[in-house]
Amino acid sequence: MSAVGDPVRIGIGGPVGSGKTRMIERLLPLLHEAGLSVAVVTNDLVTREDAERIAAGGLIAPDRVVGVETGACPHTAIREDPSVNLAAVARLERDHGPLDLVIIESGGDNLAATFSADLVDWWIFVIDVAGGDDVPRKRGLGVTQADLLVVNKIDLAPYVGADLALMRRDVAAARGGRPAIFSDLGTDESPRAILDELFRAVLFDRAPAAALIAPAGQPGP
Amino acid sequence: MLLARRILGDAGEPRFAGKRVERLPVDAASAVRRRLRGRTDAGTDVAVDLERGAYLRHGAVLSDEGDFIVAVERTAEDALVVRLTAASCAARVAAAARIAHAFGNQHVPVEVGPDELRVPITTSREVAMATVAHEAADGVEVSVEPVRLGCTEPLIRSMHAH
Repeated sequence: MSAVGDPVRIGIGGPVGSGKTRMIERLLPLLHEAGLSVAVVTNDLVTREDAERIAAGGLIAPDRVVGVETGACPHTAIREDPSVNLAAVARLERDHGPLDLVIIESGGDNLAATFSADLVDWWIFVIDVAGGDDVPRKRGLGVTQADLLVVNKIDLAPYVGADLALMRRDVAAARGGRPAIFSDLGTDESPRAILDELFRAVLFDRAPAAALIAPAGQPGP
Repeated sequence: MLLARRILGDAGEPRFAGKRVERLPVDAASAVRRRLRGRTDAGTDVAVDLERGAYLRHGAVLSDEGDFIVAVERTAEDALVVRLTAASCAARVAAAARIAHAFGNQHVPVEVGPDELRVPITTSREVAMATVAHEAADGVEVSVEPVRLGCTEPLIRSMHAH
């Protein structure tokens, strides 16, 4: 375990409407099922819409969700000056600790948004097929640098004319071997795949035995 | 899975002499992480869980298994290298200020050496080169070279307060 009072912190970033909040809603029951103590921090520009949605969803105790209003470019609060988010994490740990995991959702931002290593230990960038099948080819920092890239809403591809095969090729080229998951959060498989990667890459010492698998693309221990 | 919770020392220390060294490859972006997972060059599955603020410098020993140690191998990666070669000190300072301003505006981390600025390529070689294209002239040499960025200490990052 990490030091007491110092939970693992993960970030979830990506453009507005890509499915970040929905992903949290799908992961929370699985994380609870795995026995983890979890809290959530959401970042919005001038509202607490995402925090209120998660808190009202019945998936987590409402007082384990904190909404941060950044009042400026949302990426400033996750990269250059994460102090407001660190304060929120400290408050959650004080009130509900020891926590295993704090999920920090970025306010919807552009493709250049990245998380500071001062704030999170690992981060996901979420894009979606309805945002355009050329997004992976644009190679924003989120697409190239995130620990896990999730290309969401693949079920919508036929309806928005997105070329999934093209997106898979572009993602492979942009990621240089780093993990990427094409997801439909309406299924059970996609949230499980994201959870498995979370346990493999960063929650390795808190994983159920079945999830203690080898680094991506390599044989097991 | 071998779990490393602290940096034990440096692979060059006498107490580690004679032990086989397994190297865990770590790039510049991952060197500031406190938790990561990977495989050594010998195939050992290593999970790292350090105190916050730790830095994975080249040669940092993560585990001593008796007959072998696991040490951080900082990998070389393509970086934009800007060398200031003007004879005049004032000209070098002026060029350095213009170039640092351009990269600061992109919020990319940099490494500063004597008369040299090294910048990781976070987008593409073309975009990085374009940032300083107007500076490439007498007294400023720009190239892309494999570099162990931040080999011993973290890169410098700019603030972005708006």
